[in-house]
Amino acid sequence: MDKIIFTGPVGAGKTTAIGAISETPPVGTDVQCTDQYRQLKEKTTVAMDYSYITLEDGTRIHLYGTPGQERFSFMWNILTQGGIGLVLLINRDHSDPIAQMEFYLDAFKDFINETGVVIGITRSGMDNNTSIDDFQQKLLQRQQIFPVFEVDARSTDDVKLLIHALLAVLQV
Amino acid sequence: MSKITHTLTIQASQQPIINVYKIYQRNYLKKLFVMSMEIKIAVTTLSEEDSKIISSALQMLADAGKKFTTSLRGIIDAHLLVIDADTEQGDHALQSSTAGQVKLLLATSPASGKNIVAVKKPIEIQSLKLLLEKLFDKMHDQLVRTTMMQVQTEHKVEIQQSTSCKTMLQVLLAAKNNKTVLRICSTQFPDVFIDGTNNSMASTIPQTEVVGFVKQPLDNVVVDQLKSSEFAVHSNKMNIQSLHNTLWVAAIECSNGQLLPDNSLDIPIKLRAWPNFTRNSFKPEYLQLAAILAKQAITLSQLQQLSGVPLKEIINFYNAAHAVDLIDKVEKDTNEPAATKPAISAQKKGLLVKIALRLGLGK
Amino acid sequence: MRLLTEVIQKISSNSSEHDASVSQSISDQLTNILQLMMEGADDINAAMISSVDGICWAEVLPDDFDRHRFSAMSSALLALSDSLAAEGHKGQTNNVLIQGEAGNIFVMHAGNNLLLTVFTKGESHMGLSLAHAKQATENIACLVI
Repeated sequence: MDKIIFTGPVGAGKTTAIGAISETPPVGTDVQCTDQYRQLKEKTTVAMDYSYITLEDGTRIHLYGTPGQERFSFMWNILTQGGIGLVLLINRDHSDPIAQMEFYLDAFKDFINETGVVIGITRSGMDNNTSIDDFQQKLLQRQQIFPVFEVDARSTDDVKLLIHALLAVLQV
Repeated sequence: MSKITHTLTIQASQQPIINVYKIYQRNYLKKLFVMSMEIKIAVTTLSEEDSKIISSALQMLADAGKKFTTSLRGIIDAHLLVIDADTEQGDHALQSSTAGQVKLLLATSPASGKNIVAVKKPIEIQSLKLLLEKLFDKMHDQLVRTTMMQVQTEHKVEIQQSTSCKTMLQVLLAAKNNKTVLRICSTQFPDVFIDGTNNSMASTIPQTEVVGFVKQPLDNVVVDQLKSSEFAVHSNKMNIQSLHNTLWVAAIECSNGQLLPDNSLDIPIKLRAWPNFTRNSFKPEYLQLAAILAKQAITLSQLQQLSGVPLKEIINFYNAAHAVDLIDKVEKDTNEPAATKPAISAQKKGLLVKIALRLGLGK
Repeated sequence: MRLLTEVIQKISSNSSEHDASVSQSISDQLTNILQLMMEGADDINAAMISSVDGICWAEVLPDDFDRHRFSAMSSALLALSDSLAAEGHKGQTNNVLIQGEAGNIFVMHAGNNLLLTVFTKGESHMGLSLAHAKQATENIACLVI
C-alpha cells in the first residue's frame, strides 16, 4: 500500500492539511477532547484521519493522519507500515515547539531513516520567539538536514509544497 | 572606520559601484598596511652555536620593538634568509632562494650579489644585532611599497569584478558583507533601509512588489550610507524583516546565470540547511537541487550532470543559497564516492513522479 | 454534561482536599458500577471505563494490564467503528466485539463521552455478559449526564 503519513502534536493541523489536498473529505475519528488540550481545541483525532489522491493510472495514494497524543503511539507504528514518507507538522505557537519536533523525529526515527521526512511549521501568523532558523539550528546540532518550511495547513499550495519537497527527498 | 555621509547620485554613464567601493578602499589599505609590517625570517643550515647567537640577536631586536615572525613554510615565503654559506646544505638553500629574498650569509670568505649580505665568521651578537636592525628598516620600507602596489592591483580586480554586475543584488550583498547601513532611494519605490550589521531590512514595499524592486536598473537609484543609529530612526513604523528574504529574491531574479565573485563551478559544496521555500520565490527544480545538495557535497558542474537542470538555474539557486549563508564549501576530494544509500527502484521513482504530476507539481 | 465538566476540571487540575474528594467520589462510584456488573456476570474478569479520547476513569484490571494503553486503544477502536458504521449507513456503533482464542472483549459507548471496555473469559456466557455490560453503560450514563 502506498501511503504518506501526516504526524505531529495535537493542534498542528494534520487533519486540516490532509483535507487541503485530498480528493474527498477525510474520514476522521475526531472525538470530544477532555485532556489538557481541551482548551486548545474541542475535538481531537483518536485513531486516524484518512483520505486519498488518485493518480492518472488509477493508483491510489493513501493519506493518513496519526493521532497527536503520545498515548496513541501504537497507532503510529500501525499507520507507518508500508508508508513512503512522513510529513511532520509542528505548531509554532506551542510552548516548546523545538522539543516537540525532536520528540517526533526520535519517535519516527526508523521510519524516517528508511524513507524521508519534511517538516511544516504551522500557525505562524502570530509573533513569537521561535523562528525557522531556530528549528534549522536544532537540526544542525542533530546533524540532520531536513526541509523545514512555514506553512498554512489550510493552504493547498503550501501542503503541496511539503509533498513536493518530500518527493524530492525520496528521489535522491 | 571613517564615516561617509555624502550622497551618491548614480547616472548611467558612471560606474556606480566603484564609488561605493572607494569608500572602503582607504580603510582596507590601512588594515593591510598594519599587517604588512612583520618581516618573515627563515634561519636554516646553521650550526648550533651560530643558531644561538642569531636567536639572541633577534631577541634583542624583539625587545626593541621590531616586528618580525618566523616563516612557517621555511625559506619558501620568507623575506630574509639566514644561511651558513660554508656548508653544502647552505649552498643548496641559497640556490633554492629567489632573487627577491634578502640573504644574510654567514661565511668564512667574502660573498656578494643582489640582495646578499655577508657576515664573516665567527659572528658576534652585538654587531649582528646592529646589522639585522639596518636590514629590517630597509626591508620594511621596501615591503610596504610592494604591498601597497599589490593591494591597489587587487582592489582594481575586485572593483572590476563588482562592476560587471550592476544590480540591486550587489548593493544588498555589499551592505551585508561590509556590515553597513544604507538607504536606497528610487523613483519607483519607497525608501528602503538596510542594516548590514544585523541583516535587517525596513521598508513599506508590499511583498508583491519586491521582485520589481530588486530588478529595477540602478540608473536612477541613490544609495546613501547612514550611521547605525539612523536605521532605528528611519525604520520606525516600517515592516522590519530579515535581509535574507530580499537577498534571496534578488539573487534569483538578478543573477542571470552569473556566479557571484569568489565562487567556482568546481569546488565541492553542500547545503547547510534547506531554504524556506514557502516564503521565498522558487522553481520546482530548486527542490531537486536542494535535495541533492543536502545529501552530499558535489561541485556545481557535477550537480548539473546529476540533475539535468540547466546551469543557469543552478547558478541562480546557488547564488541565492550562498547569499543567505546556506552554503558550506567542502574541502574534500571530489573523486570520493557520494552517499551510500542504495538507489531507489525505477518503479518507485516512477510512482513518485506520478504523484508529483497528480498534484500539479511540475515535471 | 455539567457533572462531566466538573469532573474533568477536578481530575485534570491540581485540586484541594475538598476537590479531590469530589473526583474520588465519582471515580469510586464508577468503580462500584464495574464491580456490580462483574458480580452479576461471572464470565467478566476485567473492565474499565475511559473517555472517548482515551483517558482511564475507573478500572478493575489485573496488575499486568496497562490501563493507559488499553484506554487509548479502546477509544481508537470505537471511534474507528463509529466511522465505519456511519459510512456504512448503520448508525452509531452499539458495541464492538473482539472474539479471541482465550476470551472476548467488548467495547461500547457509555453515555456521550465515556466508553466501557469489558474482558470476558470465554464464549459460554457471552449473552449474559453483554446484558450486564449494557446495564452498566446505562448506570454510567445516569451518573454522568
